[in-house]
Amino acid sequence: MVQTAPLGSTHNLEYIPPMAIDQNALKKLLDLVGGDPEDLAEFIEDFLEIAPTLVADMQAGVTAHDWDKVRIAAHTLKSNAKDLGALDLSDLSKTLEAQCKAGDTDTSGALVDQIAQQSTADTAALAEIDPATI
Amino acid sequence: MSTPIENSANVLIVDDSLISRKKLRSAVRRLGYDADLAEGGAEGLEALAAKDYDVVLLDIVMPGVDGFDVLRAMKDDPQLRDIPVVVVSSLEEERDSVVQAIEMGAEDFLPKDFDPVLLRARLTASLTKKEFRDQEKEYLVRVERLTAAAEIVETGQFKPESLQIDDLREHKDALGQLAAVFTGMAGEIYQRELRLRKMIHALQGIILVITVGILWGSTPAISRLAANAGATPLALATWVNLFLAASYISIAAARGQFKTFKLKYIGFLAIWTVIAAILQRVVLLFLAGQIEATLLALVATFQGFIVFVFASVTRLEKATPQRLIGLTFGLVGVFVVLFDKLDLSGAGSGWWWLVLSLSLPTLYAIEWVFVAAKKPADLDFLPAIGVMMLMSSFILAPSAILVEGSLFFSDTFGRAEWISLILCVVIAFTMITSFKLVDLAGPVFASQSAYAMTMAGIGWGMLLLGETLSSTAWIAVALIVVGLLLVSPKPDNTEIVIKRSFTK
Repeated sequence: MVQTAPLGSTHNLEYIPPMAIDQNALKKLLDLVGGDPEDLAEFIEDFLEIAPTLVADMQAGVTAHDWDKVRIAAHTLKSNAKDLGALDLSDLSKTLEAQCKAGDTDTSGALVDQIAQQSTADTAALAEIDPATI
Repeated sequence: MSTPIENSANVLIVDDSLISRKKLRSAVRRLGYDADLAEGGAEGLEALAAKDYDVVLLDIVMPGVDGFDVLRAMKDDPQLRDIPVVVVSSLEEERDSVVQAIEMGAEDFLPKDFDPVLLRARLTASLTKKEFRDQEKEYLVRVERLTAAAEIVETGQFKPESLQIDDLREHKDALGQLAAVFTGMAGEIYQRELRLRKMIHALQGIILVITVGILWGSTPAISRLAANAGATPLALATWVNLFLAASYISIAAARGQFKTFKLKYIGFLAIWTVIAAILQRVVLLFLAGQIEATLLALVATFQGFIVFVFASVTRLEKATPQRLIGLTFGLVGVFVVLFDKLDLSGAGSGWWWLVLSLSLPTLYAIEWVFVAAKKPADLDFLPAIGVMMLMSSFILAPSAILVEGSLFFSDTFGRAEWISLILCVVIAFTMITSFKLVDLAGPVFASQSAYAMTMAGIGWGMLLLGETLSSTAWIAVALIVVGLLLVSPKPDNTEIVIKRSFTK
């Protein structure tokens, strides 16, 4: 697992997102859908399209203080990222969802920024993956 | 990894996440099931309304209509409440949501990062429950239909086909057997009641036929007695009709039967007047003065055949070979008597009057067929005959004065007047009985009274006029009875009512 900056320290340190994708998660997904790499490629393409949209939803939600919108986007990104092996992105989304659910949203704006960077890094990493090698 | 298997089930996947939807669809299809996708709660409910599904995989957290809303709507809908719902959720993070969903009626839950084996287990369990529930519902529907059929039988008013449970007998289970037994018993009860009713109907018809025959059979003899006593035909017809008008109108008025009388009936009554009250009466009284009562009785038997022909041509009643044979039996019966009694071997006025008098049964036949076919259903016989007779009296009275010089037979109330009064009473009673008979048994069967009339005419001729009767009359009676049974009354189309309760 690539080292991740502590959530509370985002004000002081520049966040460097880890870009590793969990190959086991991709393999599990591949097995689940029948073992056809083309199907996996389609899932990756879907994720590359959806992840930025969900991040944009989170950012819009933060701006509008619409925490329910942020929560639902975080919930979806959490499970999608986990399916595609972007486990850090999934964990960050999980934390954001929990904050929204608990009404503890003081640091949620910064967390969304962190998720955006992690999402950019993970989608870039996923785009480089050849499903046939999984 | 399990291999795809052949299954038949429609699975609906409701999830706002495209990746989750596709992942579930792939896994479900690999198990051999059909899968449709809905990208939200609202779309899910639309899909459920449009197509039958066997199980729903439902995400809880969705924007807009979420999983709870979908679950609530399904449980509120009788058509959807029995479809199993498997909630797709992360138990460790959404334990409360899963618990709430199961409390709301969800069948089970499936983790977001599910294993195919677990998915198979969840789907198999849900589909099995659905199958049992479907069987249970189908069974309950059959029970309800059988109960409804029993309620129909209990009302006592049914036809076997109105129960509509024939298909229930096809099921090879206990309920199917019960349905078969029930249907069989209901059918037997119906047939038994039908036979009984037919028997009663036929007996009523036969009794009325004989009564009418005896009464009508007396009129030629009484008419001839009146004629012999000095009664003139047109005046007698006028008095008979006036008597009938006065009696029927009085009784009908007392019974309040004129309340439903409508002016539009006048046309029907006018035609009836011409046929029955004028032509028939005048011809009868004219012939009665010229030929023997027994001869009149003979020609009256042709009425049965003429009615049969009219009713067949107008399709008022069913013309069957059996009925034709029955009529022939009756006719032969009458001829047995009459050929034994009459000497028609030589040429002369006997044959001429016989042919001339055929107009009388023809008029009877026309009248009966006309009344059976054209009488308005809500027009009662009493006011109808009363008005008809009154109308005829107004036409006959001036004719009697013009042709016969007077409406009165003599200056005093003597023998002719007394006989005429008796004739009035007999005709009054006979007419109402006749039309009841046509109403009950149809004109073809009712026309059988002509045979009884013939036999009665001969009997009355013996009694009143001293004519003699051969001992072969009994053979004739037997033939006439066989004829009556073969013709049989028109079918009774009213629904059978069984006056018996099975639950009280």
